Amino acid sequence: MRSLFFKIFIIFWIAQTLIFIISTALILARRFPRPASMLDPAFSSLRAEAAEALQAFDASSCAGFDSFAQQHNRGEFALVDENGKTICGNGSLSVQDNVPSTTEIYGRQLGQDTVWTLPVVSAKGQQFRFLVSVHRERHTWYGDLMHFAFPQLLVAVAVGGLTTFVLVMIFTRPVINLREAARQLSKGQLSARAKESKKPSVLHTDEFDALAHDFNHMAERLESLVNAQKMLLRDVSHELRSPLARASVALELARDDANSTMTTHLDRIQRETERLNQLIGQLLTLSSMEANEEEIGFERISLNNVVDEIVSDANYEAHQRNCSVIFEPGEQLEIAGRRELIYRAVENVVRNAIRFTEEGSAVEIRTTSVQDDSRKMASIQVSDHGPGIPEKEIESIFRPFYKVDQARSPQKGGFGVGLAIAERSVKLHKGDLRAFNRPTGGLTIEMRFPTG
Amino acid sequence: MEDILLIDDDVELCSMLTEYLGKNGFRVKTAHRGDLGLRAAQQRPWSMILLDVMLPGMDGFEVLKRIRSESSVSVLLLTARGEDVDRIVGLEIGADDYLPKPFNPRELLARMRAVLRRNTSATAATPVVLRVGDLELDTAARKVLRGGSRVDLTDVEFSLLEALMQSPGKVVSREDLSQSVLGRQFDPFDRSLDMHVSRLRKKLSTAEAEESLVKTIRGVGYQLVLDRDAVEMGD
Repeated sequence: MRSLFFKIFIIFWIAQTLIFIISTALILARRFPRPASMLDPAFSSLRAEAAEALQAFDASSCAGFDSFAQQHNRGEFALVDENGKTICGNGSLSVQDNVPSTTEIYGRQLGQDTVWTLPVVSAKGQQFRFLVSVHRERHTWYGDLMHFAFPQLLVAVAVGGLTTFVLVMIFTRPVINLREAARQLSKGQLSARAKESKKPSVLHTDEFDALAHDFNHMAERLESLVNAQKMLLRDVSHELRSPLARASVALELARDDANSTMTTHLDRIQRETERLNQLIGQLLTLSSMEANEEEIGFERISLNNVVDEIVSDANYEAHQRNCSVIFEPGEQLEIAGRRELIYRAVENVVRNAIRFTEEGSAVEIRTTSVQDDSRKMASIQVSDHGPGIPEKEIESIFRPFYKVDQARSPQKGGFGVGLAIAERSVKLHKGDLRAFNRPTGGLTIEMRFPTG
Repeated sequence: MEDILLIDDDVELCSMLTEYLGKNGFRVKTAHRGDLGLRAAQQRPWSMILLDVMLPGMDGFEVLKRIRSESSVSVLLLTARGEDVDRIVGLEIGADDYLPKPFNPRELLARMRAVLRRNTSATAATPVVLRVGDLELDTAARKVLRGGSRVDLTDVEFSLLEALMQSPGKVVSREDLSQSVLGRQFDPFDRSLDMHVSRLRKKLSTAEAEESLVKTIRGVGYQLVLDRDAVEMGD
């Protein structure tokens, strides 16, 4: 009952059925006849019956009466003389003593039956009384309702159900469609659009179509803005290459004419030029990954091998900070992907860990296989012994150029692009990336890749 | 003085590189358009051609293709950083090496010297003729014969084959080949070596021999196969 579909469906269905039941009940109450109006025709039919019975009696005494009784099979009949003695018919029907014989029609209740008594006179002038017992069905209000409403109730339930179903579909389908599109969009698939009705004419569009149209318009705008931002980043990086290339050559030329004090300055300029070059390289890597969605050049990769390679390189870097990198390989894990991208992802995460871990501590890398929603995933956990990250900023660290608390870690280096590259690479392999602070201190970044 | 042809549309960069390389013993001529560069390349022999990929007039790859169709002069491709496809395509077409732009000029110098060393080392050393199977490699004449017929190889391909022929039947590691042929440390993402090997394979293949002479030993290196038995022994 949680979905809108069922709520609307049940409410409308019940409403339609109730409307039918209540109106039937009202109609029944109106149409139910008053006693007087009903009795008149009933009495005249009784009289006719009595006359017919007596005719049969006159013709061939009790045999005639019995054959009449058999013809009219709706109750018990009897013929009683003036003294109350049964002449013909059912002997159990008797006349009540205190009723005067002149009373024209008299009825009394006998259990479930009504016994009617009528005075009759035979052709010979004999006075008789004609008794008829009519079986009376017990009518309850719900019985009446069932009796009158039964076939129509099924129709009401079926038709009501069907129309409500259609109505609910009209309501919920566009909502589901819209929700699906919104979900894809929020996952980062900016090309996701809601399905719009094929007829764009004014007559055929309802509010939902208009909503889908507006939604798509919004998505388009979002997509173009995000793309423009990415394009800008890429174009700027592209354009920076030429001046940087010239600057590098100019720097080398200047070196040739430089004395020793100049050389120290030039060294500094060179360092910065190289940093700039690195940043451009990383940005271009990132934007080429953004543009690349398809699984081109995927091969089978042993994760442990990749990590092994990275560890030997990373250890060199870590030793300069008096740290170390420890790798605890789990089982052999094979994943499908582009080796270079996987390598970059892990390398960037490990580098980041080395940058933030305390002096003299170790960065630990662990590979395991984990079960995740029925998928088997290969997991790499990289843990540092650093300050960790404020909980509310933990989602942001994978954004390009994001840096935690710049005042506190000014000398850590890096551009804040590494983790964005890692995230992009992991997403390209349909994996997951998350970061969490360990209770014992330090940050762990876990990457998960689908195996097989 | 080595004669170098630099084809790049960045005029300012060209003039600075001319000065820089000039100080380091190279005589540089420049061309700023692809078509003009190609004409200059065809006019006289060069020790080496530095070729930018993005060029007006004619695309750098097209220039390289036309140069390769008539000469095996050393070509160092200047690719744009971040365009990984460029370097793969460039090496496939037959560039001797590539350098992503922007580069450190000292790195450029080192690469150029490594490429040129391949040319000169062979001629300077005592001339040797290596023979493996129906392959014959003359280091002095820089000539390769397969089954008596001449095979045209670029400098890199020649050095690669030479390195493999010096230890026939043995696996030569990618690290060693990178050092001796390309003159730089092996980089796992650098596909240059694989590209050169595949081009070498294509050139050495003949109609009769289906089996490739150069075998890839996955994750280790390459091996010059002597004959079928040797392959099995090698495994």
